[in-house]
Amino acid sequence: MMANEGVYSLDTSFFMDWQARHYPVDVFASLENKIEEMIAAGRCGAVRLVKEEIDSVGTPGLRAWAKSHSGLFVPMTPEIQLEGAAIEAKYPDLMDP
Amino acid sequence: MTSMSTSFNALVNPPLLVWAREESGYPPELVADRLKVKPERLLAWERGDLKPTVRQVQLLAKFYHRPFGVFFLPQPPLLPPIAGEYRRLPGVEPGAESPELRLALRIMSQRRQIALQLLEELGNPIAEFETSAHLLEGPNEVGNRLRSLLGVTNEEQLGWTDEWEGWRCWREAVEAAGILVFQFPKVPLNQVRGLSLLKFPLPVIGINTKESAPGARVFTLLHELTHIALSVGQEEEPALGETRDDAAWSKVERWAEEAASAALIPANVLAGFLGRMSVARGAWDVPLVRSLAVKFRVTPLAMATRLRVEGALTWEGYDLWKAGWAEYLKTLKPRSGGFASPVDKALGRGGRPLAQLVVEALDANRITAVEACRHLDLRFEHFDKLRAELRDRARSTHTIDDGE
Repeated sequence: MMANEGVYSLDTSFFMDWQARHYPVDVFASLENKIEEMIAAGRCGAVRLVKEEIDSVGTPGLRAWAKSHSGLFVPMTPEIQLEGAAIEAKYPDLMDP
Repeated sequence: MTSMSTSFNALVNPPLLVWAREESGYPPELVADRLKVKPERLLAWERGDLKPTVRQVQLLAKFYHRPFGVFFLPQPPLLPPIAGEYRRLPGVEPGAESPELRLALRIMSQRRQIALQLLEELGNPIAEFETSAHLLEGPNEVGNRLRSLLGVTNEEQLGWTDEWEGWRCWREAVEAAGILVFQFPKVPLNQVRGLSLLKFPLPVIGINTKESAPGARVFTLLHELTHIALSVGQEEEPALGETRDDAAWSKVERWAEEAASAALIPANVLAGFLGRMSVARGAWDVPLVRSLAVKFRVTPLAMATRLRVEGALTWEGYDLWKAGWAEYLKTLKPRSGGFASPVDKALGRGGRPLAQLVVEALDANRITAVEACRHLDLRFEHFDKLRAELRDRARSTHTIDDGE
């Protein structure tokens, strides 16, 4: 079922736009519930670097949320690294070195 | 082991490890020490004989101030040498800058690029700094021209409540003239007090935050402004292209000091004060020079230099005064510092023009919140306060504007 529905790879901007900018969880509670459901179903994830970036730039509320959802953040496995490197090779100007 | 991610090896491209270290100017031993590994292990990573862990690459990225992903690029980026941007700095050999200075230069160059990109993205006009200076001109003449360009009036200057207000007003005037003014930390003062990036449009002046006295920062600011005007006049090149010997370069530096001094302390206003004070040429002591310097919100040393140039102090008197001033400085307690909020620091580091651009671009959805935070090195929770600060330009005159 997971493969058919796809898995979302979330970056820091997703979390910032959701919680810190446009849809704060104290106002848009149902959105948080839906995302919680997706996390529970294994339909979204983020690499641990995202959590560290949230810790670096995020709001206190977002940082606390990320801490309480540590299972969402997955380690940088060799497979993920290879996928990332392939994207960098295809789009060399994507990153400012 | 701090997390699961540490157990995975990082599939980095070894030449990128070498590139990042050499670009930062660090020897292998220092990096290895920072990562708490043996130098042989670091060199084995760089040769590709061993792989570092993901955690170790994260630490390297942080230490080198590079994105984590840079180590996975297929080949090292081709970047122009940084010495092709900054003006010649006494005692700094192009290509052999200290790691701290290289980092400061790279950050300031990046900030300039960000400003240019955001200006283009927002469709805003880019101010052109076109005022030139020539070494055959008199420093007084050039100083007056720069002062006139900046639009700081005598009445305004003499009315400032303290040196911090003077620093902010001079900085804003220079920024309004089409120059970005940044502050950089962690570089020892004996390496460099200030510098310029001779890139047009939007040249950059960098001020070392270890310069604790705001009056000294003002002098450095005007000194660098003079160098930029000399560059516009094609009298000087970036460090990589400068061919003058040390003696010839010292003359350029002295000329720039005199022009900066003339811009800060106009001859006619100074003459008025000197007429009223009636001090004999050999009678200038520390309290007298300090009393005059405080009126212009400049450092006593800058004032003494100006008095010498104007002939109110002989060279001998100037040297004696400097010796007395050095003794006086030894009696002072170290600077206690002050509290600077994250917003104060961000504004101090990057200046109001850059902060304004970043906020505008964020609010227009031209950049992400993460980019905005990165550009200003500021957490998102402080952005509302930043917006308020940008709206309210009349700030406390006692705010510490360190950028550190």
